[in-house]
Amino acid sequence: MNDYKYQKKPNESEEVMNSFKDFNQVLDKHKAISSSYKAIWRWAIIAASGIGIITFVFVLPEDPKEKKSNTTEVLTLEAKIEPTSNREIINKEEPRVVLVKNEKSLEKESSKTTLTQKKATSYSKKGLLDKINVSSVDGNLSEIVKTDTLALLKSREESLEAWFTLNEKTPEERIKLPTLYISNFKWPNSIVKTQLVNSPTINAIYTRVGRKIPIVGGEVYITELNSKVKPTGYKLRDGKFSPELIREIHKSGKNALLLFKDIKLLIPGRGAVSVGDLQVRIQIDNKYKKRIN
Amino acid sequence: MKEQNKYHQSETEIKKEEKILRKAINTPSAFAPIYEKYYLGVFKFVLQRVESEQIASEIVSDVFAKAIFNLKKYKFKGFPFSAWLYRVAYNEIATKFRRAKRDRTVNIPNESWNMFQNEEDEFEDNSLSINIMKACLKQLKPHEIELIEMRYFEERAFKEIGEIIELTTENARVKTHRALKKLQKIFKTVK
Repeated sequence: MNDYKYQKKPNESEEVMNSFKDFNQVLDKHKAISSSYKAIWRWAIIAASGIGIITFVFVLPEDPKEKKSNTTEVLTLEAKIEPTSNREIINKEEPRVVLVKNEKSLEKESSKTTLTQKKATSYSKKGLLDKINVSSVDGNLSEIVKTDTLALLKSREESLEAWFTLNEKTPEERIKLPTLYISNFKWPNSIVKTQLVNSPTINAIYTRVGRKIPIVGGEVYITELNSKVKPTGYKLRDGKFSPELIREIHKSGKNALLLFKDIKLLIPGRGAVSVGDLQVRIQIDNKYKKRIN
Repeated sequence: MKEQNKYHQSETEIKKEEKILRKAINTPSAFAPIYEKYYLGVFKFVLQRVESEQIASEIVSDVFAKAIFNLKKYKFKGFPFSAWLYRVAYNEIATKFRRAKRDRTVNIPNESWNMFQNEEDEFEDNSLSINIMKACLKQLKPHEIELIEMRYFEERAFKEIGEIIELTTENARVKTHRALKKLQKIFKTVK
């Protein structure tokens, strides 16, 4: 079915039809169509570019390349803090760091130096660096880059403040869990270093039934109390300390701690259960005192 | 309809036409010869589908303006330009009536009545027979009406019909015959 209107065809007179012929009218209409399309395109382009600019300015995040270079720079500056013959600290009152590069290193790393300068400029723009000076100090030293790293170090400290956290279980909570033995000591607070090195083990045991529970997760760190720098972590596997960890225990200083983070046990019937963190102080005995002294 | 015979053109004529069209892409005024050539054909095509000449003239000028505007989209496939022009007109009419939310008009020429009449037919009163034909046509689908209209009211070639409504020649022929059969069947039941 259709709803067309049907009518008897009127007599067609070519003269009447030709009387409507007007090519100028057609051209005018064509111009109107063209101009309206042009206007639409113009506004579309303006709108698109406007949206693009707004997106670029407000929405897009910082350039990832630049961000990456910032991180590299921070690490480079920190590495230079270590005492070497080619370093000189100027103005000890303020925590300023001087980066020095000798001729050889400059030759080798000429491109790197240029990069550092460029990055330093980028820092200065961001307010991270307060001052950048370049001057000659020695015949052997061709370039000294003095950098006020106060702001940099501060920002780094701030970012690391949250690292040292201790989430230990209370004694009431520990009763319900398998007993944790480190170097054969039950839930220890401190262990003598010699003992720790001689029996580098960690075990979880249900003492009443004498059943050993496998440790399936967790990491150990050798650190100091409230340390802000995250050290290398060692995964807990098979109830034994890894050789690298034992080596680190050997090297550890006076205030060193063994920090066990998020120890996970595979308890039958319960699955993987976390027994929290554990902080164990490493006591220096006579054997190691001599070494340290 | 003598203009419809112009659909079949020689190759030189078609190529000459194509040259003008290429020129008209950048210079709309160069389109004038084409306008002169096809004005009447397009006007009749549009007039067949609208109520009055005034409405037809408006639509025809729109059709030519849009044809010039979209000339760069036209691809020469060896067919005369008129087929493309009629397609533009066909779409323009559909757009106009859709916007106006009205159904379009079908003008039935007197001669077309003959295609239903048999020798035994006893209709002497022409007005009665026209009314019956209108009633029959109303029962067809819109695309079937288009085909009947183009083939029998406007006497167009199947090739041209195919070009206008984007069908192959053979498909246009088959569909038109089916529509005619359907119309005849309806006519017999109404009678």
